[in-house]
Amino acid sequence: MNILGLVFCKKASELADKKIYFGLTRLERYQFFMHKLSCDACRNYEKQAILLDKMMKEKLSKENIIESIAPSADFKLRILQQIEKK
Amino acid sequence: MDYHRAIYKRVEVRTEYEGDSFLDIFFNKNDHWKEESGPHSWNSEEHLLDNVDFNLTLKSCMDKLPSKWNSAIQLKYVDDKDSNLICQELEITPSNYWQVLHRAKLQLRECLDRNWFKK
Repeated sequence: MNILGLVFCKKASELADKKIYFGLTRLERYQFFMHKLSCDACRNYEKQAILLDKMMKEKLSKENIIESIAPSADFKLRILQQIEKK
Repeated sequence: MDYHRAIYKRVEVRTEYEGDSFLDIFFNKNDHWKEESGPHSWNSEEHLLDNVDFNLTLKSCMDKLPSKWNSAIQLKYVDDKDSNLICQELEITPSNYWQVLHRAKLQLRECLDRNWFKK
């Protein structure tokens, strides 16, 4: 943190993830917001962290675990194509 | 989930993952993103998870994570449990927990960036 109480990218990226899992304090919200105003990289990081969060939720949720064990339509099609080639 | 809790509690992560030096991979000495690893915009097509090749890439990136970090992720995402509850069960502070998740995300993001979005 510098004299103005602002943060740099290393801390800002931590805050992006803390926000997702635990939420931020009022000070942290201010620091994060101020930093993002002038930092493309951290704005992108936040978007990507949120996207990753959504993807992992979708990929790992219980129903999907069951689905991922059963062959997908795509997989079955590939197998069929391979059989037909022989 | 007991399995992942046990892994999280007992497995040590190699020191290169735990210390500040891990963050030095991504950030320079001024605490800014390094030029190469600074996040650039991802033009993500809709429903990436419907893409078999993307799923393979994602799985391979997730497999590269240290097992302790992978367990932290499993505990969070499989049951979608509240983070504070997970911390109570693991007997760790929220700060400990999100630091691990944050590092895992940094690594995962970089792996996907390199193996999917930059190609």
